[in-house]
Amino acid sequence: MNCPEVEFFEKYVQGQLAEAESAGFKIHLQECSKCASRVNETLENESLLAELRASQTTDSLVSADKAPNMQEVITVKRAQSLLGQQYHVIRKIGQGGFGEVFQVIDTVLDRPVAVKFLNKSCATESMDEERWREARLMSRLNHPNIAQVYHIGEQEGVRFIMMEWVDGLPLTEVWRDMALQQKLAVFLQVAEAISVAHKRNIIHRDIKPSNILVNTAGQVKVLDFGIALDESALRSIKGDKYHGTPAYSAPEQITVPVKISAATDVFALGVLLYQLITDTLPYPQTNPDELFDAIKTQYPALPSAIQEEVPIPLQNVCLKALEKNPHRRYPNARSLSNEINRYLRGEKVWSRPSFLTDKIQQELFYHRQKLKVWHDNDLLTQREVDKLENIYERVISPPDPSIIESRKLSLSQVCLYLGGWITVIGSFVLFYKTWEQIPVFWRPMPAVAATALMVKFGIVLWRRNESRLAVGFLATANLLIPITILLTLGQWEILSPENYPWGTETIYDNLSSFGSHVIVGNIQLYLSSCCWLAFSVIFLRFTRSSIFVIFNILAFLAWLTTCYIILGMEDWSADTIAGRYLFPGIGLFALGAALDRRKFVQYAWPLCVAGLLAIVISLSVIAQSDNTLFIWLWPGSEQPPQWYVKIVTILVEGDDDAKLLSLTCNGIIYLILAGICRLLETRLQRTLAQVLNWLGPLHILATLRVLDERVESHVRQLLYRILLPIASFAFVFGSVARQMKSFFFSGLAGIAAAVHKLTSEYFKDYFAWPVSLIITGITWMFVSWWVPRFKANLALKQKE
Amino acid sequence: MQWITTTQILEDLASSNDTLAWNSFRDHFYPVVVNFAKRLGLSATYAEDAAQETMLTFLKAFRDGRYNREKGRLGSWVFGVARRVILNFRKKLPRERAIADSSTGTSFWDMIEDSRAVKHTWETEWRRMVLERCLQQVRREFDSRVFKAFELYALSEKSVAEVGRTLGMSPNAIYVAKSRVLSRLRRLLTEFEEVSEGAGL
Repeated sequence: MNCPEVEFFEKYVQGQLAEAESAGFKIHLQECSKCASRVNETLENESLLAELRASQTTDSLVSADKAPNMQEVITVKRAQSLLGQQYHVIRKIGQGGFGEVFQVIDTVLDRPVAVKFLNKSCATESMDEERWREARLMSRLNHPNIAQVYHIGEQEGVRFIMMEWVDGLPLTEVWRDMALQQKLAVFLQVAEAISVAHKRNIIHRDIKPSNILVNTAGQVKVLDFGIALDESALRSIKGDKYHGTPAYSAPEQITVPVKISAATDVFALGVLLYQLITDTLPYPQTNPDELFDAIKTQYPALPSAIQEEVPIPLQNVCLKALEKNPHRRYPNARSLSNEINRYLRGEKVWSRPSFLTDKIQQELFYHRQKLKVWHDNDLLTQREVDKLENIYERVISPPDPSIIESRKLSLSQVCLYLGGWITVIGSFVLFYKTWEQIPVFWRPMPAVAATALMVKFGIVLWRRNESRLAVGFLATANLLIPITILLTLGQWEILSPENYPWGTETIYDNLSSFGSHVIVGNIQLYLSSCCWLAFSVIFLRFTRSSIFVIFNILAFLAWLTTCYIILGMEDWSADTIAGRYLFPGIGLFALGAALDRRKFVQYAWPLCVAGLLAIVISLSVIAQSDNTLFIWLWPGSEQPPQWYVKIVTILVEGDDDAKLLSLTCNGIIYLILAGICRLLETRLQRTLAQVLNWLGPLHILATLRVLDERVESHVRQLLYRILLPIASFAFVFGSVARQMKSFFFSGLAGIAAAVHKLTSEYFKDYFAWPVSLIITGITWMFVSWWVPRFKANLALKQKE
Repeated sequence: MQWITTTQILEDLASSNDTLAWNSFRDHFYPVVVNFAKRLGLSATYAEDAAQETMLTFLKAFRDGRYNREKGRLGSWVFGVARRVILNFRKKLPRERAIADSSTGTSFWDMIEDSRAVKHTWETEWRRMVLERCLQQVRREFDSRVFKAFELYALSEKSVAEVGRTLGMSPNAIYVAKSRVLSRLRRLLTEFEEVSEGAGL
């Protein structure tokens, strides 16, 4: 090999040569002293150049990010001598608060690494074990978004940390060209990295764009855990020391005594988010006095006022992270990233910055004082004041957002509940038979497994702050528990009625009316309702979700009922005379409505409710009796009108069964009544309309439930049997559009009826049928969990 | 290049009210003290005030004959004066400003306790001043195109192709320019260190 040109030397020194070329030159160097001395010279030149560059970039201290601190200056040459032969120092790449960083090639492993020489002043930190804090903390954090530590060492009293070389640019230099979605993707990675640190009780304390590198693939690496603290260090920290970067400091970081927590990092993340979405700092003051004053006392300008296109939910998340009081912020980076994820998935974001709630609170405070005056002047009764106070309370401290959301019918929410419901139905179907073909032990197992799965995932999701989904899973578990217990006791013949000392006559055999062949003993029933009640209470305490209040009531009712059964309760039977209440009912209702219009609400209320109750009972009785609604309405006529008979003839084979449509008619009547109530536009009528709305869809589905019993042809029977589930599903999913909960729950009931029908007609003997129902239900729940995430990720990728 | 030694400065300062000597002393130390003050956490305005006061305090003390060459070098004496002046400045400021100005990592209170670290800062600043002066000297010595090539390629880290296009030079010429300028710079630095007794610490 001939002696090469200047360019070659430079490339060699900077490690830019191909492997083979470099190896060949190394051999040449051993022989050619001239080239060897030129390499040395070039190396020295490079180290001088690095020093020149560094001295030129550190002009101003006020531009906080790049400012170096006091340290012994380590030149490239010095770094090379400290690291030895295995490493080849390329250049100095920066100076941070706690040392200088060099780009180095590990010639043995042939990979670039970053070496950080720690500032000697760190050595004044008395405790020995604190010396390697950064390295130790970082090595504890094995995460793709945190630069990895390879090695730590000490040479001639200078300590260094060898880290993963990140080939990327600081966030400061790349974010301006990004779209909002990309910025959020980057932000999420940062939050993810920090949340991993938080999980290990490590607090970064110096999150800022220059500590975040982004490579060409968009992957983020968080650097500089130089002033990070773990919990044990946190306890020993002196009360008045300041660490960090002013513009990114939380109020509690700059006031004495300093109180650092994970929420401190959340504040810095909030500043970062603010910067990403608005391109400005929330506190742009450069004068330190003003800056600190602003951080402590002022609210930042609304991001949407700076950049019009900033979405309001994102603004709220950002402002909540920037709360002055750490307790009002997100407790840690995970909660913050969860909220951003919810935004990206298109879910409702419930975060509200406190100054908004403060404002409401202020106004309500004055209003409450007025209430007191009104009450003192006898303008309001105590009860009314209490009611208003309750409403104000709810406005000031609304229930958990996830709970509000779990009440909202979104597509994924409907899927979740539907899946849960199908699982419950599937488990219930297991009651149909004793399943002789399956070993005793395995008979109740599908339901047991489903219950265990629901409880497990419910708890896991709750811990991961996915409370909306968790409530879905736990609610399903809650419904499954009594069924599973009853099933297990029944199938395994534990406490079975044959063994009761007082004989079998007290056995409650109502399950047989569902077509079940399993005999359930009263003690078993009692035991299962007790367990249900207990679990409902536990779940309620655990989640504080109102759905479990309902379950508590149901469980309590079930428990009471079983108590009654054990005590021997008489069957209640309907009286056809009840049908006679139809006209009085209508009269009462009309009278009540008229009074309500004239503002006599106190009289209207009982009249309307009583009237409505009479109407509903009468119509239901009529539908069950042999006479049609028309004969009831026009007692003189022997036959229903011609068009009615025609419809019936189309639906069923023959015109003799005209009462069939009564149920549907009732449903339609209820919906019409609800419409009338809404038209009356008073509060009472609106309440009544809500009740009627529930009855309407239920009755329409009930018609479909009995339709197939009246036809002979198998094809039509099958058609009707399929029609019920289809209509039920349509009701369930149709409810999403206008939040029609009545349709949603009627749909669920319809599905249960359909499954019951299908089971008793077709699948009576198949164990696989309930099992497949359970599996379908569970699958559905998981789909509703994963699909929104998948869609959000897909959208992100497409945008990138 | 005519390096001005500290001895020379001292002699000139002692001998008369020579404004030239004063200017030369000022050129040497003023930027160092300003940057040193900033690095210790003073804002730009305060840092300039502190440097001004350091210069005056030093001159007064020197004229009163309180500087003894035997006891230490000029640089270390100026360092001592500057440190005292800056400390006094800091005491006058409210505590929070002190926090505010330290931009990253360690707080002012940590710094001032660690005299070694403060000395390092002084050295760094001194070194920066020296580098700057040598760079000025090299700029005068070399052909303007060669220096420009060095400046663009080495300092501003522009690509060879880009520099070549701008200045109409071949890549090799650019590499050579860089190598020559840096080698000369290194020699100048050694020279300066010998003459001016380093930062005098």
